[in-house]
Amino acid sequence: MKILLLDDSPKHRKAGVKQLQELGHEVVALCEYVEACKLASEQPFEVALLDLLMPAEQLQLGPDARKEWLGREISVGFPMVLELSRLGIKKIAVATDTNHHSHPMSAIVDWFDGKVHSVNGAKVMIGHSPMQSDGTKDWGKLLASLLAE
Amino acid sequence: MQKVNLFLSIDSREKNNPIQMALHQVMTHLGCDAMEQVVQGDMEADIVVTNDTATALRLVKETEKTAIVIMYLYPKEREEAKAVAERFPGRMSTVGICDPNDDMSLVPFLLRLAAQKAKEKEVKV
Repeated sequence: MKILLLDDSPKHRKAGVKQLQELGHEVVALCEYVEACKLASEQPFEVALLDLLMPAEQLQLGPDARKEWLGREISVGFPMVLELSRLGIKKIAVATDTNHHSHPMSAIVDWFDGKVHSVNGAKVMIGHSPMQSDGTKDWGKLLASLLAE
Repeated sequence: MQKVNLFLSIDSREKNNPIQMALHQVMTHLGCDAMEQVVQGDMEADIVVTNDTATALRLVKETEKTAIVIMYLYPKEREEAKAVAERFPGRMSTVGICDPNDDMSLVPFLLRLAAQKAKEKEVKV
C-alpha cells in the first residue's frame, strides 16, 4: 500500500519508514502538514498515518500571529482528517504519544481511543499511539488496527 | 578537537548572498566543516544558521539534535525569532548580526556554540 506518514518528530518518522517498508509498503514520510495536503492533492495514497499535535506553520499568518503561533503545537490531526478524507484517502489514523495528563487535546483523544469513525467516507481512527520498546511509535501496530475489521 | 558540521540557509535578495558567503568563509576558516544539506546520509549538521523562522521550524523537525540558530539583521525581526526559538528550548537560539541588545554578536556566538558542540562530540567519542 502507498502510505502517507506525517509526524514532526524525526525519530517517529524514521521508525515508521523502517517498520512500514519492512511490511512491504511504500511510505512517504513528511514533517509538514501543508506539504502533506499538497502532496495528497497531487497523488493518491491509500492510507494516512498522522500525528495529532504538530508545530503551527506559517500558512496565512500575519506578523503578529507568527509571533504568537509559529512553532506552537496545535491539534492539526483533526483538520487533517477532514482534508485528507476529502482528498480521497480511505483509511486514516491519528496517533499521539502525548500523555493525556500533559495536554488537553490528548485528554480529549480518550473519547475516541479504540473507536472507528467514518469521515467523508473514510475509515478513521483517532487515539493514543501504540509504542515500541525504544520509545518510538509503533506504526505497524497502528496500521494493523486500522486495517482490521 | 572534533570537527563541527555547519549548514547555512540564509535567504538573501542579493544574488551572491553576501552574508552566507561571509559566514561560510569565517566559520570554515575557524575549523567548521560546511555541509551542503542539513542531513547527509546518517549524519546531520551540528549547527544550522538561518535568517528565516519558517526554515528554522522545518529544520527542527528534520533533525534530532542539530542546534538551530536564527540570526536576524533588523530589530523588527527579533521578536518573532525569539518567540519561535523559545518554543524549542535546547534546540533553537537567536542572535542578531550586530544587535546592541544581545550579549554577543553572531560570530562570537557561533564560535562558542561550535566549541560546545565539539566538546559534546569528544565526550561521545
